[in-house]
Amino acid sequence: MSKAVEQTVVEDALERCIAGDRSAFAEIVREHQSMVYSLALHFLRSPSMAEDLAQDVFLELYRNLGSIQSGAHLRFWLRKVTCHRSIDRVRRGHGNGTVSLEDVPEPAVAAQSRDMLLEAKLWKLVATLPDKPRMVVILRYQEEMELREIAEVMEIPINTVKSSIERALELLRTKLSRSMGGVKV
Amino acid sequence: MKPLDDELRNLLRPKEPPEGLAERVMARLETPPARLTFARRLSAFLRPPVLRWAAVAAVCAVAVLGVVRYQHQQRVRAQAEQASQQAIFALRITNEEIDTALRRAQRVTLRALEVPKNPKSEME
Repeated sequence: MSKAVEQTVVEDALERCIAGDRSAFAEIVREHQSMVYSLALHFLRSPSMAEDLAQDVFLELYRNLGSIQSGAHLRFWLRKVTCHRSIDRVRRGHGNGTVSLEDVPEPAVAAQSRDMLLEAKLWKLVATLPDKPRMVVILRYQEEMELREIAEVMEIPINTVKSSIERALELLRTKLSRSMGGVKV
Repeated sequence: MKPLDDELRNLLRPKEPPEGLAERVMARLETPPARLTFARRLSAFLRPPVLRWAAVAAVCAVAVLGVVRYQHQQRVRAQAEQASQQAIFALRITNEEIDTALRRAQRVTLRALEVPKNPKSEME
């Protein structure tokens, strides 16, 4: 489905949902569940906590449907609430478990060639990043978001986003190269 | 090896959520929210770290005030006991002195009664 058609479908579902059609809300959940769940999973590193958080986010969306203006706004709202709730959970001492890459569900999009060892190391290294830079990296590489969009979702200055990504990449590169015996990445 | 950017993109690509996530969300929408117990309401209220620390500080302050008040009460009680002991001691001394004075007065009275009424006639 093309982006424009997808957008129209979501906006149509949103309109029906605001009018009180619950099945339309289920459509919205199905449309965005992979994004919300993956953001939470990559950040919290626990499939059960990620599902719990995703459910909470969608329930919160249902209570705030009246404030959603469009499909794009809906996507922005879901990303923003998921990011903030995930960070809150980790700060409250939940989440950020030690789930290995094997326990993580299969990707929604098929991967190209995979280096399992490198992926496992990178998975662990990403988890060592501080909360906000970690979320910035996840938004950047999972959602392919622009720096400006990340800044809006995270409610931080765009320069902070830029420096967070640069510093995170530098840190990951150094640690990864050290753990791979000096191989440059 | 692929550049780090590609590796991250590959690692963080969206994952499939567990089967039935949307159905579970819809089921939760149907279920009325369970009434929160006092403990859960309190824990929800104290979720922000600032409030949690404020609550800990308040509990500490109440505990310190309680200890200070208890110590003050103990001191007042000890002082009251000491004062009462002193009063009893003073009363005992007073009592003994009154006794002595009474005994002395009795002796004087007895001696006065023993003195003859007309010493001249006795001599005759």
